[in-house]
Amino acid sequence: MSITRREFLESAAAASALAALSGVPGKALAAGGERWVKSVCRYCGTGCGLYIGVRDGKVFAVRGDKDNHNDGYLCLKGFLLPQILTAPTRCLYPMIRKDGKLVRASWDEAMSLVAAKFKEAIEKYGPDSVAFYGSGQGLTEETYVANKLFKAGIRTNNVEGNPRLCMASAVAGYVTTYGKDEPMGCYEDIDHADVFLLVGSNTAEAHPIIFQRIVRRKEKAPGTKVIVLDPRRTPTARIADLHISFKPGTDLAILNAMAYVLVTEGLFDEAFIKNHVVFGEGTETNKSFEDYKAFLAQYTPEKAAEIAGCKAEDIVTAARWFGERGKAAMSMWTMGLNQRTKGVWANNLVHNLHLITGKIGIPGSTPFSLTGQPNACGGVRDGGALSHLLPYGRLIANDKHRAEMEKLWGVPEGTLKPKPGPSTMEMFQKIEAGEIRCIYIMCTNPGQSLPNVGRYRKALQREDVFVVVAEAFHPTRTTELADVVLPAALWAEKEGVYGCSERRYQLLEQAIPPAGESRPDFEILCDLGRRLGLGHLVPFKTPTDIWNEILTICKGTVYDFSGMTRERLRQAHGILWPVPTPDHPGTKWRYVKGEDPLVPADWPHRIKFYGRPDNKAVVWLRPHKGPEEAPDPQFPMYYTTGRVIEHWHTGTMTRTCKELVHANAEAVAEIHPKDAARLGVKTGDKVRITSRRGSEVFKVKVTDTSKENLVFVHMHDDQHLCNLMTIDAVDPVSKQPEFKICAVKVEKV
Amino acid sequence: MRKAPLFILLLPLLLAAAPAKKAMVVHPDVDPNEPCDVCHKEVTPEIVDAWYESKHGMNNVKCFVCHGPLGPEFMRRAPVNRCVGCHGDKEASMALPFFKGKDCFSCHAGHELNPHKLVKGGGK
Repeated sequence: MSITRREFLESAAAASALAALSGVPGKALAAGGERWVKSVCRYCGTGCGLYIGVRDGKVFAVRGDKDNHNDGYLCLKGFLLPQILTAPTRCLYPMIRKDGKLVRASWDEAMSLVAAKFKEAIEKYGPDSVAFYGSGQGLTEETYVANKLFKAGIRTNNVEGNPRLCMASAVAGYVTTYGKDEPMGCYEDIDHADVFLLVGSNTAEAHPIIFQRIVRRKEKAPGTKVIVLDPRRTPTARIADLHISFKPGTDLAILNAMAYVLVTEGLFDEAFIKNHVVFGEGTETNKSFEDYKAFLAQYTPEKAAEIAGCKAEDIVTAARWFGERGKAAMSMWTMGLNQRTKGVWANNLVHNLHLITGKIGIPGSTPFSLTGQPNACGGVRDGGALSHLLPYGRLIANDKHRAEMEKLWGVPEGTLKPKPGPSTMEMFQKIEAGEIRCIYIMCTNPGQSLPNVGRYRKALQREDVFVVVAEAFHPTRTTELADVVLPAALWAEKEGVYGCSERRYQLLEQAIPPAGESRPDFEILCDLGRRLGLGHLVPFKTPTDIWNEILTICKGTVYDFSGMTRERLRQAHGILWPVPTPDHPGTKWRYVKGEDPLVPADWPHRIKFYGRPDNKAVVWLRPHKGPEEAPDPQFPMYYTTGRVIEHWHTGTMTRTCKELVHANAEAVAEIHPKDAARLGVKTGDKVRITSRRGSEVFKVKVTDTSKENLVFVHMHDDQHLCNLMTIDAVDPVSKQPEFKICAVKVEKV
Repeated sequence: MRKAPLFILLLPLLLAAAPAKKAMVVHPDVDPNEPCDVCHKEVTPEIVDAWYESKHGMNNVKCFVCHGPLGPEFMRRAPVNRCVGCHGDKEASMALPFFKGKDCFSCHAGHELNPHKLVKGGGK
């Protein structure tokens, strides 16, 4: 059927008129009292825009936001979001542990107890005897209040958050290479890329809407190449033109070998290197391009293939596709690289590929780290809510930065302690050692999600440790360990900002009142501040009050989003920083002249890596190093964990959706057919997986998507804890644990 | 291989016999811990294959997104209000005269879904 242009226009006009009448998203109120409230998905770091449908005071549906980057699409988890709000496991009132059991309490009783315990610890043992452990899922305003209250009020740098477990290596990768954190590219790069390098990322399941955008790019531009580097043949590999499976932990050798091919075959950009790149080793930028070439000589494709157990010609092909002149190359990675004891180095090696080819800062050419949580970037990374950070790129250890923050926060000089606090694993080890006596855990589930979790569950159960958990759900594997549980309002029940993978900040508007007696986290934290005599530091009545203060804190930094007023956020479908003035449109491509307001118009080059004093990025000479714990005769198999598309993190939300609780809910041990034959097991049988740290029984799924001698278990099952076995060894720079690789034995039960 | 119960083997026939308008088809009571395709690869392989090759299959939009959960809320034919979760921009056009008496699947039939624009050579 074909229609004329006039017919099309008439049809479109009629549809538009109908849309205006029918209460579709964007219209505040329609017949029957139906409202559609603009928001963002609660789950992953993609940050898909959506509208929340409210009828009779209840959320009845969500719809993707056509005007946002996700083009109206939602993944299956996002689509089923409304169900989490009314889950029977919602935490609806405060609880206090009495005689070993959590019993209902009033807010005043619970908060009085929390304040008294914190005061007592601070008075007896000093401010470093208390700690805050937050989340990449908290709203920016909430995390900001916690960070300010603990660092400037209580005066401890014991402030950490679960982004340490997921993004710390990406942060350190960006900072060591470019001087500043956060990607320079954006999702729109996907629409321009000719080659995708997906390494350590099961994009199809962990970031489905980004995967869909890659699929669309491939459909529109059939010559587009997708390279997937992953030991497992995940659903992401379905669109791969080249899938390289390798021995876990050997990708550093492969990435160096790709660089070797680029250099030896002349697929590098000499002018770009000359103008924008320096070379370094360790922490010093004291090497040359010639030194780099000499370093790479030990990573011939053949040598790397031998280390990694893959084909040398595949490495050559990957490098040639990536380096082909005139083609835009985009790399994406996530936990496969970050959750490693050499995670920062692995990140550096991806950046190297872009820097030596000059494939950076051009639409379609960018190194793009995918984030796991919806506000790890906006709230914790950018907001500086880790133990070594202060807001918006400032460092605890930097005298000038502390002085600046003391002035901005209106606290006396010397208030902020100069010594960085412990990283996440160190913090929980201090709990284990009895040095930290009180911990406030907000919007996260470390009793399930920490590596080597059995060890830290014991620590949290110490008699002399007081554990406060502010959480929207109960029971969780952390609330069950708590002395006080504070019911937190959930997504749709509160207002605040999320910042996703691409520097896009978006406002989630409140759609319905908080369930039961729950309260937004910022209110709970302000209440605690008042009870600790620190109310003057957190006098906030609304999230907008907090946001307005945040705008003064970011101003003048490289993050500068002071032009992102609350009203503007209400109207917009996300804005990418920097946004230094209210009339600035946002920045798709950072460091790029004509795009980034921080690059002067008279800068002589197309790009300026202004994060570093010499305005140049660093190609680091990082040797291959394997995992902390490789298989041995006693524990002969690799063990790895990850996501499946139906569930998210520890499952506290997705496991309340009736469709999802029946879909891939139980963690099973995915085993290659050859291993299954050797172990004498078939699908449905049970195996015990044991590492040096712990042991758990799982049902078996025999699948050739797994790699021989590798067992995979998903991380979302609260009844089968995959983290009893994972290792708590950390990257020495980022302090991120090596969740992704350890050694286990597998036995038929 | 595990044998499928008789009622599951007969399910395609039962569903095929059900008129499109009568959406109240109750899914047989099956083990809720098994993913849909464990049975359906055996009893309706053509449907699983069609889905897998469709846009929904490529992007992992799995069975329950359209069909809902097992039990009384199971939907044989997804209503428009299910589709608009992702395809909200199409909802207004459903009110046009052309679409009277039709729903999304009147045109986007089966599990292939017949997208408006088929692009050869990419992605699949």
